[in-house]
Amino acid sequence: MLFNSLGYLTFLAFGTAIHWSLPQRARMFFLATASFVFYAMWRWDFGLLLLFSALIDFLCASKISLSKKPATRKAWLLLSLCTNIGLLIFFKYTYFIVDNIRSLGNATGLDGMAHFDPGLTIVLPLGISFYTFQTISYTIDVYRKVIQPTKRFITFFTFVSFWPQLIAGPVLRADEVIPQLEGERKRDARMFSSGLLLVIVGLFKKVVIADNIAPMVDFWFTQDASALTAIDIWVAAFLFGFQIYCDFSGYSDIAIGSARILGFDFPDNFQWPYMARSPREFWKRWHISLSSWIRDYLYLPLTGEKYGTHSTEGIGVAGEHGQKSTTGWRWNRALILTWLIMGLWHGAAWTFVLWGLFHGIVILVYRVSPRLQELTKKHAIVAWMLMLATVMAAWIPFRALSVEQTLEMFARILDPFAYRISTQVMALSSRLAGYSYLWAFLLTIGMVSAWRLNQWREKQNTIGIAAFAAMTLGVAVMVCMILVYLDVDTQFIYFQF
Amino acid sequence: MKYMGLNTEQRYRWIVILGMALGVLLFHGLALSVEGFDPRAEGIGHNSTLIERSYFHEYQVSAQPAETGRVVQTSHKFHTDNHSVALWLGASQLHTINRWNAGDELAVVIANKIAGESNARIRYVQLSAGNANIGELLCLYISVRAASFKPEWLIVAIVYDDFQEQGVRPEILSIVNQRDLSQLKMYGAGVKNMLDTLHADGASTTAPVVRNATMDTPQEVLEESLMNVLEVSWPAYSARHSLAAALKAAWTEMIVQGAFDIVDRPIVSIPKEQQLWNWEALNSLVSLAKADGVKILLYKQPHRPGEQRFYHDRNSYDQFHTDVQRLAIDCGLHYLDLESLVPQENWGITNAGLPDVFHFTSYGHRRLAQAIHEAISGEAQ
Repeated sequence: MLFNSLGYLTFLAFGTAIHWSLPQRARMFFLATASFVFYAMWRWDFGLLLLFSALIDFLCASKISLSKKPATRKAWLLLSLCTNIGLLIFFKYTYFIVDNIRSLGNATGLDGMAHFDPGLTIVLPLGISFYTFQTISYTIDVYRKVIQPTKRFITFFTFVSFWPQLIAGPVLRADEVIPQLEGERKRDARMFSSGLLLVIVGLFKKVVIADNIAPMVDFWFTQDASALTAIDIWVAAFLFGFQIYCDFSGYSDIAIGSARILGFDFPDNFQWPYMARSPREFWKRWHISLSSWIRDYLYLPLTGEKYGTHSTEGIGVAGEHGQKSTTGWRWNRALILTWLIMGLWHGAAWTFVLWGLFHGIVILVYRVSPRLQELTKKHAIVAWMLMLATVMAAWIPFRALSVEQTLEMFARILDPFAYRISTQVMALSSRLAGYSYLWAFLLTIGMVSAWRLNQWREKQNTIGIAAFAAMTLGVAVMVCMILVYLDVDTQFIYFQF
Repeated sequence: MKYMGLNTEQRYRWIVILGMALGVLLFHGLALSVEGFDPRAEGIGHNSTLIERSYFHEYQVSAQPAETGRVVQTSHKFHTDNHSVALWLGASQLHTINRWNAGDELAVVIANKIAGESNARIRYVQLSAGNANIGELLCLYISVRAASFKPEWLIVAIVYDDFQEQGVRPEILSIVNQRDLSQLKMYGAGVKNMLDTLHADGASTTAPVVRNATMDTPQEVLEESLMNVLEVSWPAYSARHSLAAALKAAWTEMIVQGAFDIVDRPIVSIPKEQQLWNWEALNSLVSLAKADGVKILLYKQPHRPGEQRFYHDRNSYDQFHTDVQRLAIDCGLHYLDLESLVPQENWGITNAGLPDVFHFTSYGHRRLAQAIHEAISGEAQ
């Protein structure tokens, strides 16, 4: 089910009412059933796949916990990993692999490869990248003896399928959710109202901002890149940066808000990422739960360092605690490998690999450059501007339609003679082109203003009459705009991952 | 700290509750206040009305690219009735009427009426798209041809502005197929460019945001039911599209007007190298139509004369049209200069209240229809 729909709002209202009216012991069953219904509103048959994945991990984790022999424990862990990663590869990467076999066949003149056709039609199950990561982390945590496995399958299934986080995260750890599921949750007006506010803010970001930026982004990325000016490309990159931020952080807000309404406390998934002054800081602020997952189950194990156990602080925190140096070959190799995999996780295309590689290289450059580290500490505004431009440029391969388009766009922004205002804007011949320039500017200013306002708000101990009125009006405008633009015609960008 | 009997936490709660209630009321009031607003304003606006399709008797004679098939159907019908057919291709000037009033008609409909009244054999059909460049017009011609229809005449509106637009929009590219284009490679670089565009745009529809995301899912049924219930029981909700359109129009007006207030419209000069892609498309279109035995009329699109500053670079503009005229002479085509055909008072204003230099009133359409029909019936002497 899509969050940006009347259906979801109705589902949430009824779900909340039923959940809180049930006795404590029945709530778990209700949440499991409701989550299954939530998933089945897209495709019921893939709900069975979710059940299968959960069943395998529940079984493997139980066996790992019961066994004392390292080899047996490892065998059960491998079964879990192979099942989850196998499902992910099959559903998500089969077409990518087939395309690459064909390209290789065309390049080498091998006819059999060039016309390779496994004859499969594959639909990517919604949320598979997220729930497989969640179940993998559970089994690994049991294997690492970080957590004890739950004895009840219903508890584990509810943890995996819990609707607010099922489709696109946050990717939470078992010990962040299961104790809350098993414990007693009481009605809390503070949690309820803050959850409601998060749902409103999330919907506003998605349906009012992200969906209205989308046509402008589509406009620029379907143009011939060689005919665009460098400024056009920056505008496109900034707009897509804001679109994906509002889209995904909006989703996370709705997810966390919905969970709060039901009495669950989930950690933040975004913390003003575009205000970061270094790549390390950015990855402590962007998609924190995934970035923390990558840190604990991929990056730190590759470096041989101690891993964390919570979905907070992100990958940027890696190397901050206890390590003398993070610049050795072992670290750099792990870094690049991690980012290539991070890129591929986001999408089965070489453009996503390029995106990952771009981030890996940026982190590496910041690591080895004392000047950049100094800049971050001494010249905050310059460091922020540099980081913002870098992160926005990194979105180009993420959104581009092909590697060629990505390279052409990068070539344009590196060409000093390509810095001019587009004739489409100058001649006012394309409304979208002109708006794009304006929106890229307004959104940047708006983001900085909102950040400053939030900083100010956090320092206040109380809310005065003026602030009360302004905030009430702000909520009212958001609700009004959501009602105008709420439409299920668009899905969340991260659903494709 | 207590204030109004509420502590900070309670005040946050009241902000959410009051904000939601006020938001719903605000929506209700705004939506009902613009209930009658025409969502077509989302296109060009109240002052310039886009006519998506037009009919001569019961036949559709004007369409946007997505409905090319309907115009082809009409053309076949005209042929069956022993009429010759002129296919008219162009940009938004052809399908837009400024200061539209009920009963106003596009030039293509008026031209058919004139032809019918004068018992002429010729009939007119039109395909147009906003800001269509020549590459896109070539695609339209190829798609018509692929539907086994060849007109007797091809009329092409030449627009200087659109020679800067390169590439083919997905909705137009989708009506031609690779096989048809591959068979026409001998008609020059214009066709080859289309093939390249088709290859390059193979994945261009894979925008990350998938449209109609709930299509064919159980949620689609749920959404429709909920929407129907809300629309029936809450009039303001059924007016939400009008509110969205009104907001967009107001925003457009503010921005466009603001932009004009800040800067004068710049003088546009399109570099020759930027025109090349469209020139190649025009050459291919001419070669192909000539090979099909089609007579071709190129015309210089009417432009608003009068008080406002001519925003094209006059020298480049004139040179460009001289080049078009030279092409017409070299290839044995017909050419008409209609720049000053429509008097100043028959041009309207844009939605932002600015002089519209592209779209004229119904009288302008009448003048255009007369000029074109005179040229065609007199073999463009």
